[in-house]
Amino acid sequence: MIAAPRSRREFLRATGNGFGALALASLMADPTYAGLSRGGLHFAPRAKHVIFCFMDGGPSHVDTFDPKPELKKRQGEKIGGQAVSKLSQSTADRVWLGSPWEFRQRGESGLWVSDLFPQIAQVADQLCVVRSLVGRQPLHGQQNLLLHTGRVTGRAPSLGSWVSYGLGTDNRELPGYVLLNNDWIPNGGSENFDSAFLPATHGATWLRAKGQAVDNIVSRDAVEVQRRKLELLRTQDGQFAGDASSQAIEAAIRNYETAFRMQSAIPHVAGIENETAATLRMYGIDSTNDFKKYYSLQCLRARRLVEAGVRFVEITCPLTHANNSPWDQHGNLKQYHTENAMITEQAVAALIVDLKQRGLLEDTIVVWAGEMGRTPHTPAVSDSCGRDHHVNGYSIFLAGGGFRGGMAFGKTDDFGNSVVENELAIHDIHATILHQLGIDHRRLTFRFGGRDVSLTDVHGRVVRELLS
Amino acid sequence: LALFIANAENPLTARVYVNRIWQWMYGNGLVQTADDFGHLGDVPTHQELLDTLAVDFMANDWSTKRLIRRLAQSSTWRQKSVASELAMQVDPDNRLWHHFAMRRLEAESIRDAMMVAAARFHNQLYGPPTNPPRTNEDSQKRLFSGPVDGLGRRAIYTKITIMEPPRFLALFNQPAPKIPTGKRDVTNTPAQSLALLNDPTVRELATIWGKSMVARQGESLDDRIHTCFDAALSRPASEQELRHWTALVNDLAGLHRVAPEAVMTSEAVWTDVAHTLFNLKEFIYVR
Repeated sequence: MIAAPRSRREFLRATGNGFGALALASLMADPTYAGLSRGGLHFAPRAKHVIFCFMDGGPSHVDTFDPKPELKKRQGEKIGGQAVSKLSQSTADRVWLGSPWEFRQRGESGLWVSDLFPQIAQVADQLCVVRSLVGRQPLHGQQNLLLHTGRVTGRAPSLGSWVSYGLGTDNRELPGYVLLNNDWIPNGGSENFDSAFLPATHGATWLRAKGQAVDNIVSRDAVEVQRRKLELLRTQDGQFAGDASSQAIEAAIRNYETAFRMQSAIPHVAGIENETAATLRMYGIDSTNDFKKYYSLQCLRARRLVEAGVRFVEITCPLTHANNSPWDQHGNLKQYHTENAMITEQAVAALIVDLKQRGLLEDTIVVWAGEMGRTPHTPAVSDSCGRDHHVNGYSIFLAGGGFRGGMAFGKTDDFGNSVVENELAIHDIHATILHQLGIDHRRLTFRFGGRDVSLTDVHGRVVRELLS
Repeated sequence: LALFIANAENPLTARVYVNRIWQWMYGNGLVQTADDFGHLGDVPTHQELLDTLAVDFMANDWSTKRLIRRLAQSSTWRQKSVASELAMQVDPDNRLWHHFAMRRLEAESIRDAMMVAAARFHNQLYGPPTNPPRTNEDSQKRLFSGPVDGLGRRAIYTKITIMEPPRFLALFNQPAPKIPTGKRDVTNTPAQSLALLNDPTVRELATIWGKSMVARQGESLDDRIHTCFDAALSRPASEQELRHWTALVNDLAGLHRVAPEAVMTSEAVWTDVAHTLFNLKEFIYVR
């Protein structure tokens, strides 16, 4: 048997003092501490950052990016047995439901966007819409975990953690993966944003919208005093880590370095004092609606974080009323989809415009996706009816970072009920995002449980048709 | 139903319970999915051991104390926390218990350990719970802020609300109060480091400890460092550690502009020493 080449980690862990002492001595000089830091990227990257606008609950595809006039014509007709699927909450006696929103072709490209998103429609020429995504199970928790970790069971690193691990960080003062939360934790819980078996530094750092963005971010020591304490901790903890050869201790030591730097970096990047009034207005931070105001604030922070070098930024939606999750409109589709759009769409559109103005959109992939779509049918048509869970062909969009704008890929049937052309899985999206970042999804792996585990496992292909 | 659950003919209850105690002591269960012994759960790594312990547990009047005693007398319990390289290759997840996996203290234990070290700990049982300290009170949501040091009472007496669980405890993976959690997460985040550096409770307890240290008279510097180590880590300092910590004390004195003869009575210096001790990895990791 040929001995596997030792990674830097293994070498450090195994030699003399162990990871702690040696690594800390060289930490200042080490810009990345990442999976690819030695070998370089697999391809020439088209993008460096990702901003993931996570629309959890499942925005309806047939009310946003996938127009289905047939639904309106046949509204009220029973869908019949052949339309029933395990990938949809469906029974034969349900009836088709037309969209309450008009669809129009937008921009030069003529991409279809409904009136639910008037402002996102303005940037239609930037959007690469995928209409043929198929999930595994029409359930929130499972789909959230699939979308984030590539597995319905979770317990695996999040896409953001893989990106952080793969690329390292451009900015040693900030974590590689930041979650801009809006006081609501999506189904599947924090597992969606965890590093799992990857080194813990790659897990999401959460920034709250309201109040102090991160607890305990203000140092209570004079800088020199804190430095002196940390210096002693380094020595003492390095010894402890060496004796114990534990990954957890190594990560904890590293966390102190990050924490120390975050104390100055986070308040700087979370603060928007230096942004112009026009920028604040463009994002909607002047809104009188608190949900919208704070969602907009997080979107602006996303741009600031990307500017500062953070690799992966994720923004979650707020929950405005007692419901399973923000976009989960089993009832009152019209009322609450309108509300969710009101809260989120201006800021998402502004983010794309702002990134483009600053020349950042070329380097930044903006992903807009929920974990599922919604059924084109409903139990009975009424003013307050809604749509249920549907993963048998739904829509997301990507923008920037080398994705081709103004296009729609894949096709669903006349009802938006199943995919008839170019079916894609989340793994394909993951593979394509990683590809744009210069990473081969099959080769970005981490040894765990006796095997080299990757985000996409045995699945996924780079969807070149989406790329410019 | 109670009779059915706790029936000798139904070994599942005892198995689950024994597995949880094992998990609590060793960090992992014989069945890794503590919450699920069904089809989707893990199979036990040591079926016979689990069954023996379960039968024994029932035979001993379902006594948790006896069970713990038995587990703590085993050679598995007495193992070192260092694993051999060969063992790590064969069984990287330590499913065969070839070493004692190092563990981080649970959230409540971290907080309580600080209180014990600072001698602010009251081992009083029962009585009303105290509110955790909060940054924002909200009387409509019944969210009130409590004393920073929790009155020295154990973390188990902290009032838990679904609206906003105690932040320090939640940060160290105290489970959210909505869902029964058989196995806690153990995350490791910069936010935890920030809390140990800057959280008001941590700072308050360091101050209490620092004050109590300087109140002791006629103590040499070496003695005091040994006492600190004993309180925080249950062991004396090594020669090398004595040198490092003496240097720390002197440097801190310089930074706080404390005259050399006043070092032993400087609250600022010894509060900082106490705070540094709380931040040691050895303080929150057991091996």
